[in-house]
Amino acid sequence: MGGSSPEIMGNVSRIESPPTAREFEVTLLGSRSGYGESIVLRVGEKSWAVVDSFLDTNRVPVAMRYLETIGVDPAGSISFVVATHWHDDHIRGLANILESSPEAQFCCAAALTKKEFMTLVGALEGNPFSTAGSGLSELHKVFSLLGERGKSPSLALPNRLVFRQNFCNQNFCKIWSLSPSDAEFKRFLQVIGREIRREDAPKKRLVSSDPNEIAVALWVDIGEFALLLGADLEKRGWTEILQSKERPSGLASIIKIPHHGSKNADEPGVWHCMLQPKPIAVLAPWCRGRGVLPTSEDVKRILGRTPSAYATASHIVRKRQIHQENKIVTQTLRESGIAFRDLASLPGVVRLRRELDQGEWNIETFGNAGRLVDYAA
Amino acid sequence: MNSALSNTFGQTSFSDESATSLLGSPAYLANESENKALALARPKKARSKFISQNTDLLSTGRYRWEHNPAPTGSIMWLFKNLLPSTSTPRPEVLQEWEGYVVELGEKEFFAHLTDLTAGDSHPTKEVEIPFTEISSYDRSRIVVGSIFCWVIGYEQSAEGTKTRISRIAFRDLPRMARSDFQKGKEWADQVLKSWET
Ligand SMILES: [Zn+2]
Repeated sequence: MGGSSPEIMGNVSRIESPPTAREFEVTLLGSRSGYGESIVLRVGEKSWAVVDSFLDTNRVPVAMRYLETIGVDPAGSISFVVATHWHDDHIRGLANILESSPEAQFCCAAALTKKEFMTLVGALEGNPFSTAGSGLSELHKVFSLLGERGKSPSLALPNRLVFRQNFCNQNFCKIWSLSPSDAEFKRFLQVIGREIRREDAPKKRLVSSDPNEIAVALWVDIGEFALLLGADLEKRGWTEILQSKERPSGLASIIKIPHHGSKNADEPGVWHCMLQPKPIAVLAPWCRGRGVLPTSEDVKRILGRTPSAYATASHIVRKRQIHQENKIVTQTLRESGIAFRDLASLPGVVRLRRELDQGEWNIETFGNAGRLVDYAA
Repeated sequence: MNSALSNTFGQTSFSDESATSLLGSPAYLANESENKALALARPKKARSKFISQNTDLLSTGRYRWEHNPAPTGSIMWLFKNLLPSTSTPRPEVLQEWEGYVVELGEKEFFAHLTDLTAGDSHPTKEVEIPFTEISSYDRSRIVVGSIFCWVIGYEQSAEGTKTRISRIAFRDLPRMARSDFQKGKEWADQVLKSWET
């Protein structure tokens, strides 16, 4: 591998190959169904971080599966786990990861650990009313586990150093949270409050509708270079980050595009003030109901900013099928004309590696991942 | 009410009469012995981990089964009209999903389905369901976040006639109660306290 220019190597390279001792890695995993995003980062010689999670077809967190694939024992090497926000497509499996990684430090928005919000989590989860949980079940599991361990989370706030570790020799990996701000937290509580916080409100499954809700954007500094991981943070969150005088200095060479490439998360100032010209951009497409991200407009806009853009899927699998294990069930469904789309699917992988203090990024894609220019919205 | 609940799955709990009476009832949780008796009628794999916590959704009777006239030609209509009126349904569950609504369209809604038959606790499928498949009574209850149960199976009448069924029933969800918030506060206090030490 070790190419001198960013090139898609496709499946020519083996996904199993581990990084060399001095190689940094950031890998974006995205569900082919468009409902799952997870990032794996190498933060030390034998140390890894996971940002967000979703489950594979065997209900295993994809980040753990990926680490196993490259010969890394997830339990012994995951040292930092971040929940950027509580939405279903980012959070499933985080409790499993923490459960099997007893040494891992968990990080989430400080707002999520406020008593007001935690009371709501406990209130909804105290008397479970749905097998699939209230929408806050994963957080409930995570907080309960951390409670049992007596291990408090790292609290993400604007411009806060949430993780620092020696990578090797003089190279340090530092991770800063850039958001959410107090203003975002207040808006979040208002939205949640309207929905369900009051007594006598009918219980219902919380379903995300606003991408901004206290998402944690991260700045990863490895000395020679930096990364900007945009979570699902939308415009007004970015405006606040840009206005902040305390944010880490420097220009990132890689951006995980916020909110699956949507227009409402695109802030031109971010490209001008926080990123190198024509950075490497990676994104995970999203699909729910009739909504699909990125749209063809989004793809055009992103490619106008950088030609070096990659997606974890070349298209969203929207094919509907009715086949079930039981023949009678399949027959009944066929008669009804109702069909399904699988949410669980094999992940597409965009993997970026480079030597700590020199060289170009080596870009590899696996599964259904590829260049954004080839993405069919 | 209680007598309807203490019957096993597929008996009076799902007859039209009991469904009507369930409609007007406040939300409640069934007791453990009721749950045990009711869970027996379901395939073993379908038992979710919450069942032992008195929240087996089907057995608590919180599901209100379709009893209003369904649109002609819909699944509901077909199965209602295939059923002899004197029958006492005894569902044999082949497939059971729990769904929650994620998006409303003009003529249809989208939902995420958790496969209870496979013992899942996370949704693994997205489904698009035309409103015509839902009774007019239930249609007004379809909002983002509302929860329903979907069962495909057989129903056997008292005379022994077996009929294939596919039923979607929206749930009357309980309301947030003071006790929920009290429980939530206790949990939050406990967790937050453990983080201080
Ligand atoms: Zn998302």
